Amino acid sequence: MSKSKRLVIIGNSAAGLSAVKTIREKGCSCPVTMVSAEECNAYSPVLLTYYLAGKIQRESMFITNEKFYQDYGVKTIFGKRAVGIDVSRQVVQLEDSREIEYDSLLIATGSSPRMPGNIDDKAGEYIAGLRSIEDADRIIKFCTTGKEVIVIGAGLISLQIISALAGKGAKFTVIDILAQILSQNMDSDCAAIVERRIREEKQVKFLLGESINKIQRKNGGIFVALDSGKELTAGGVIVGIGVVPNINWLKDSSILLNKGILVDDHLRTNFEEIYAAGDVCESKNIITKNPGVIPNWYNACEQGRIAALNMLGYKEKYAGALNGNITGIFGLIIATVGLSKLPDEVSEELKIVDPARGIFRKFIIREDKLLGATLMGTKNDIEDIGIIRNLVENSRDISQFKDYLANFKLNTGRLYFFN
Amino acid sequence: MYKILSADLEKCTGCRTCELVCSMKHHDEYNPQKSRIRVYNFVEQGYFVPVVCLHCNEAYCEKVCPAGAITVNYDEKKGVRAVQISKEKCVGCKMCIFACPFGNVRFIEDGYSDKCDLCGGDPECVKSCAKEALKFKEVSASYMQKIKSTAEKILAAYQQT
Repeated sequence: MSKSKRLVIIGNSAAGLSAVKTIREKGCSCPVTMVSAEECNAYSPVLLTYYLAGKIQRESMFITNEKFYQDYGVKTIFGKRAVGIDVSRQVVQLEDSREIEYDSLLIATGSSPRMPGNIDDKAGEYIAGLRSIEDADRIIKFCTTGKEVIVIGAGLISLQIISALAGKGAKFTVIDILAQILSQNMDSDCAAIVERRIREEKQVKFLLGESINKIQRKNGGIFVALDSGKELTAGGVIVGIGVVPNINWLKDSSILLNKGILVDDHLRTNFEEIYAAGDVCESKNIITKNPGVIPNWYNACEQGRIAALNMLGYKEKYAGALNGNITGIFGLIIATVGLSKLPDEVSEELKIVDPARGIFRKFIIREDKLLGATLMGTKNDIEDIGIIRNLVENSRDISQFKDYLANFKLNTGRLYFFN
Repeated sequence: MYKILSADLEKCTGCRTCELVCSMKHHDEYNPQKSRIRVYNFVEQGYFVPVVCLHCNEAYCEKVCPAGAITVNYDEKKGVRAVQISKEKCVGCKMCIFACPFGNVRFIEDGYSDKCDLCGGDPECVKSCAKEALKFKEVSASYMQKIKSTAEKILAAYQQT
């Protein structure tokens, strides 16, 4: 590879940073330019709920400073949105009409919160997903007015936000189209334990199996009408119904898109010199082998690393993206990896449920391979998630450990020394 | 050349003193539940396996930490290379627990992740190990090669299954 190869990274979060680190760790001295729509240094969206809870200061969310970009030799163009790519001339176009030439390009523009339809234009300031510091500030603002807050979507992010803000005065009403909370993350048995735990908190109400008809601004607050005819008023609306990859700006670029940017096993797009990583890309699911967007910090870090290696010419194959998460809400730690429900009839499940202690362990197994696990409990009940994640990610044969999985007895010693 | 914390399975008697002193040193109580090192007993095979953070060369936990709380720290003078969690920076998101394939990062007390930090270069567990099964010492290149070939054997055996 010639020394003068110009590397350009669009995006300044998990995938982009992981790529920068990889490029330099491999001893590559090519010029690297990083473009980001946000004016500030990189911060960690994972930490936003801790910021909401007041556990950390605003400054603590930043994971890089000016020195980082200097040390890693990165030319930064922050606060300028990329608005297009001219693949024939190999340039990225910025909103201020500047053009950045590249020899190899990584698109890591992330994702934005999905928003429900039928939102009144003027309601904007009272509605927020949680993706940026700006979002967090808006949420804090309307959660401290003493009025009700409506939460759309009973997924992990919504519940994390509520858990962070519970006990700070706000009352929450959670609306979800499905009858089960956390439907993307776990089965109904486990969800029932979580739901019961949350209901113990007097300030959270659930309206499940309801869909939103319209959201309007009303008297310094929000009016929400449900399809069932119910009407609610609130000080604000928090939306947690997933994210959508930021790909709109690529519509005219001839880069192949589906829900996200389509990439091959090397995270390369349909253009030889353009790669994509992180929430914006649609990569292979490591378990189902189907393409999909699996937005999480863990995948973004790994994809950034793999894409960077390929940009440098290492021909590194990406094993695939893994569904998974670990979080603490309302005193329960929930860790999930891979599938949470049986995918077919040949799969079997292994399950331990202890509602009284809030313990839940479930494993999805097919032909001696672990396809997924859901672990819930407190402190050391979930400590083996890393080991289990590794078994799922590398589709290791678990026939000899099956008995140990459910009853907490799978440990490093067992795994690496005695089968 | 850095010192590594090594365990000799032939010598470990499974007395678990290391767990007690570790929990005392870092959590002020004699409580194996709060130890960073853990000894797994395989009574049938007659082996005891102490397991503790490996301070990986490319540490999974360090790579994923969204708070930048995990760093690899070198102390050239003491010959110590430790992957450490800053209690102050850690927000307790547990991503490192998700990432560590060995289960060596723990969540012992609310608010932050916990793992071996080699006690700043003077590990308590090693000092207390009566049978000297635990050692903290510089190892030669040939010893490292031996460890590597043993590991490769384990891996090969593992892949056969």
